[in-house]
Amino acid sequence: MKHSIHQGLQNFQDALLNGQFSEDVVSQWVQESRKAVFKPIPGNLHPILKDYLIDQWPEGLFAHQVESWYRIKSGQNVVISTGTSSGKSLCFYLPVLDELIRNVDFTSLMLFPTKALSSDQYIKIKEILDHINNNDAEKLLSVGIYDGDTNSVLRSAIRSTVNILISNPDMLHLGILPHHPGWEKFLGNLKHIVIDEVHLYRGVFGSHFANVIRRLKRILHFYGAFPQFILTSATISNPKEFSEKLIEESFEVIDLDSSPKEERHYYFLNPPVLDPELGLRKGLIDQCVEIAYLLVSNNIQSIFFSRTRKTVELTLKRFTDSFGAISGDVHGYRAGYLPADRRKIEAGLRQGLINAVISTNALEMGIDMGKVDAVVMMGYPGSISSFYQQSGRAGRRIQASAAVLIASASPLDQYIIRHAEYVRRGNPESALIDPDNPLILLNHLKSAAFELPIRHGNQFGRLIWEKVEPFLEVLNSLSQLHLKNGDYYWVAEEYPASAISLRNINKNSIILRLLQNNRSTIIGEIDFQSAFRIVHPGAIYLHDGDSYLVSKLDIENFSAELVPFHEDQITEPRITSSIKVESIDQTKYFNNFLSNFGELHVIEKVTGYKRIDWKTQQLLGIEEIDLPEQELLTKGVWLCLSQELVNNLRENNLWQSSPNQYGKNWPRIRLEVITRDENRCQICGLSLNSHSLHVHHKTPFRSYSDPEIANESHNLITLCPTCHKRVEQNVRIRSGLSGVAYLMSNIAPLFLMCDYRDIGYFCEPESGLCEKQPVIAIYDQFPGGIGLSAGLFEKIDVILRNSLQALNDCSCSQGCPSCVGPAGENGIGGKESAKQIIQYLVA
Amino acid sequence: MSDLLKKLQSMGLKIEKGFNISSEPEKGSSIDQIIKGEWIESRGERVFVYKESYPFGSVHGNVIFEKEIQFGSIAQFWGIDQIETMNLKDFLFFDTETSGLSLGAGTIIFLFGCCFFSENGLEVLQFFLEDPASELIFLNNIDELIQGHKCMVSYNGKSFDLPMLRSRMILNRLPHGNLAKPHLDLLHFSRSLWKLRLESRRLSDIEKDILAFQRSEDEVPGWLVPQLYQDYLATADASPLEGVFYHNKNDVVSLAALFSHVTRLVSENNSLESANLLDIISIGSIYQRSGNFTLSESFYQQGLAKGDPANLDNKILRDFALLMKKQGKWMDAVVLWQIAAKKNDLIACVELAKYFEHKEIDLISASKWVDTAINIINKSDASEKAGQELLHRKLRLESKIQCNHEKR
Repeated sequence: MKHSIHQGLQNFQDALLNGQFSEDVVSQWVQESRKAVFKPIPGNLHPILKDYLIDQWPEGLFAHQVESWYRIKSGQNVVISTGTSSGKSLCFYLPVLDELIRNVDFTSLMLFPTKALSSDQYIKIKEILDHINNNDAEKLLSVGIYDGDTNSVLRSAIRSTVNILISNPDMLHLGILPHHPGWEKFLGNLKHIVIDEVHLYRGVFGSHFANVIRRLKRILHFYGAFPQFILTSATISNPKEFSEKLIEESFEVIDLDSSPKEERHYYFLNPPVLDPELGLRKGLIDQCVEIAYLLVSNNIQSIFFSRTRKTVELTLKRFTDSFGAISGDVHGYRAGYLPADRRKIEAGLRQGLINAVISTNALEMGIDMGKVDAVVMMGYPGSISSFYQQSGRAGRRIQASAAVLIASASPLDQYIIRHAEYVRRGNPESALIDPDNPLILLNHLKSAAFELPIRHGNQFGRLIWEKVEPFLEVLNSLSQLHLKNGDYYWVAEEYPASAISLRNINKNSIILRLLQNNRSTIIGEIDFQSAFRIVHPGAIYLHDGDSYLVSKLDIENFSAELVPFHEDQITEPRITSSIKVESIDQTKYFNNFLSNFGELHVIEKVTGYKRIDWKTQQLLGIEEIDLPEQELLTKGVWLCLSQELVNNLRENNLWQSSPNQYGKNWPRIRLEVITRDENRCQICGLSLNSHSLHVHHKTPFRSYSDPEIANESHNLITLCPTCHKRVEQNVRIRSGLSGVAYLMSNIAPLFLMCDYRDIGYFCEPESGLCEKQPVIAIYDQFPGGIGLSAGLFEKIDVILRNSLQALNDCSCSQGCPSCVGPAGENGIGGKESAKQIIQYLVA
Repeated sequence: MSDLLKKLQSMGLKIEKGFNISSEPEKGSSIDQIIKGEWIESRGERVFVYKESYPFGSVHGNVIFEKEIQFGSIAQFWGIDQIETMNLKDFLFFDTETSGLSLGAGTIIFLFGCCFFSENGLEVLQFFLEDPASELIFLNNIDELIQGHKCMVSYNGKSFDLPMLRSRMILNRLPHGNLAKPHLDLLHFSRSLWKLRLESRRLSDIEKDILAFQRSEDEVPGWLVPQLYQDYLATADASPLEGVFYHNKNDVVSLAALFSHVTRLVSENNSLESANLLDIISIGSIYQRSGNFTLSESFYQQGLAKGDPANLDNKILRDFALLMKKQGKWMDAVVLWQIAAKKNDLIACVELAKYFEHKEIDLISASKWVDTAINIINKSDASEKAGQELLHRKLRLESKIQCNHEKR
């Protein structure tokens, strides 16, 4: 069936395909509308529910809902991994409610990731329960929400009476498990555990959550309950493997989506290149404002999803500045707005009173605001499941809709925009966790011992006793656990769960204090690990759209002082790092390199920072600072390049680049440096005449926008031609390596479902890690690792191939932020040498 | 230090400064060297128990433990009907010492102290958990003791000690039905009984202010208790626990003394000569709330007889007046309201106005009381709404007066 399309949307699509933006649209496709596949209501469903279904859904159930019913009824743990709005809730409502109707003593636990989702589900479940209770006088099934907002008077009633408990992971961890004797009846009768949107439990949060589940199962076994698990997930590449790692039970996957789909037109738009040499594209905000004007002036109701709160405000401001007259219809929406204002905007969208909203992902999930005609994603939203969640906000039953992705300059965005097939075909993202991260595990073992003594020989989830015991010994040596007859007892005074946040690994954080008008106010906090990089003295810190200058970082007292800052400047830290291998867990051999996975000790030191003009990206200066080293003991992957590969690189010597114009004073400066260095090569000491000697820029000339700074004498050194060649070769290998590492660490998130900031990289031409061969290391940016490197190790060949593809796709000449990093960063020829290296790696 | 600990530290695990990674503890004094108690053994497990007797006639502060106490009508004071048929031996006074203050599953009870009356006097029993591993026999002994009594008496036990016991029983797979028996939480009574004259109703303060009992230097403050037990487990030296036993014993003996004191105070045939006026009034108001108007009135009257009613709080006068009004004793109520009204009590004036308007149909007097009330409002910062209501009442009275006037 072809959907009708309204005239405004037709005009918009014409502009994208044939008009103003046709040059910039790099791909487009149509998701055809699809009819639902219905199956009859299962015969063994309880008659009360059957009546309700016939009444509410006269067409019947979707095929995957029926499949879920039979699988869950047969006792299997299932994970339902189908698209957005595919009726996943009903997949678990039916088996859960059916069981409860047949035995009113039974209970179910349902965990939702946000409060908004919890209250939405509460209303829906309550409605069905009312139907059941009204149709059978003997039934009095009840549902309750137990979270941080639950009234303390209601809590004990909820504990002793509810059949269905709606809660969230934090409450389970903090409020329910440590108080489980109060939940004796509920837990003892537990038949089902439903965990919604399970793909969100990845990374640090997921690694914690897996341990919360281990604790929950321990307590349930104590009460003799062995409930069934029902999970729902967005589409990811590894639903079964991920669910089994998270819950440590076997799972069956239901992923054949049989719900109807509306016709939706997808457009991928890449802002035009303004400076081909530097790879600079038109700014994301500028581009979006133009698109927004086109949508608003055509009367198309739309949502713009931006990645940061700041972009929301900037886009809104730019739009108002440019198109004042029609901007009244455009609103911002993000965390930080007053709840009443947010409700007003949601209602306005529903009722069609508001034409366009520029929002963060706050509007992505769990809020009932109806559907709009068009969604515009300002930059790739970070994961393919988010992409579909956001584009799913567009679409009405009776007419077609549009979803537009506008790429930012980041390598991942640039990669995705050119490879729509990644989004169109199945999802390559794997959700990854590491439940055995030592710090996370230690904390949850404390909580576990608090909840129930840990008996000699007991497993913790699937973790065997031999691996559990060393942690218990540590806790015993710290007087937190008491050992008697081989069993470990909690004896300390505190409440260990409150010392764990499921969102962080270390609870230490740096408090950000704003000093203004002689007052000090706390405006936020930042985790200790990233503090040196982000709030070092002199750093410009962006918060809620405003700029602040860090005037002081007080590590002892975990605080940083900020003052308002009004110039268009940003800073970028300069970091030196070194790496040691602690242990090698696994090695894989490839043609030109070998890949190791294991424990790495990374030592980082922030040595200074660059001040950069925000608008022009020009380097304004380099400052030095003195901060202590920071250690990170983590999991990582490191690639050791073979001697043969290096020889080939040296022989090829392909790095022909046009000579730099060093400025008109160069001959004089050159002579001054050679004279200063007494006509000797500063590496081998060879003495030559000044014509035969070379003068080398330590930091490449191209890194500087101002030749005078580049030519300052401390940046220059005299070398003989042989040494210079070696140095340049090393510079090129280094810049090639660094380009590859930059690129890989930016492409990897597509497969690892993480943020690019979650992984760090390191490279070195002659490395102790690889017997003096070049190394590229990529590691988890979290102490102990959270499973990202482990996932990377599995997919290293795929990630290398895709990195090469991204490099080939990029039209810049010398490297740009969208491929190997800005050219100036890595020296001349960075892109070419990076390309050669990857070509050898994938060979 | 273990390799794992080193690794965890380099990942960021913080260990408190000056913390000594524990090595094997040196053998300190064991509990039976510190406290003159005995071991009860069964099925290879043992629990440590300390016993002490207070014969009848002995004193605790200003309370003398006596053999006979009549319960009868005071059951109503405690709000538990079953007490009517109980005798002194049926009460179990108890208190627990725990390893922490949260009610979570990881907090354990390590000392259960209790006392009860026998043929000879007050018997104190304290059960001590030598090690968390022997919790089962510890709890078994406690449960048996609870089973042997009809009513439990505690201080804040309803919100702390009882749920804590329940939780420990569940964790040791013991039935906890015995915990459901009648429970007197004296904290709740202290709150209403001494609301009028004491700042703090904590047991330690009640003990000083009401029982006139002074603890010795052996006392340790309650907040220190969890740490002392943790130290004992880490060092195996029981010496610091002596103070905990002392603290716990006096808590339960004070409970029994407080119970005796209050029981005597509130019984109907008690001579209240030496009793505090405010206490007597408070007893009157507690009986008022539990619905025994006769006893309530009797205590109010005795209280008023003890001193000049003009010195009493208006709220008390009004409560008493309300009690009288509910029983239809209007004249008594009017007297009380008038005393309060003299002391500028707004509500009393309104009550009087209502009384004269509806009961006496004396519109002039009613109108006068409304004027007095309006005066009080004008002098205070009472709400605008109250003022409007009064004006409304005033207008209605005036129109009624006018109307009557015309009829004549």
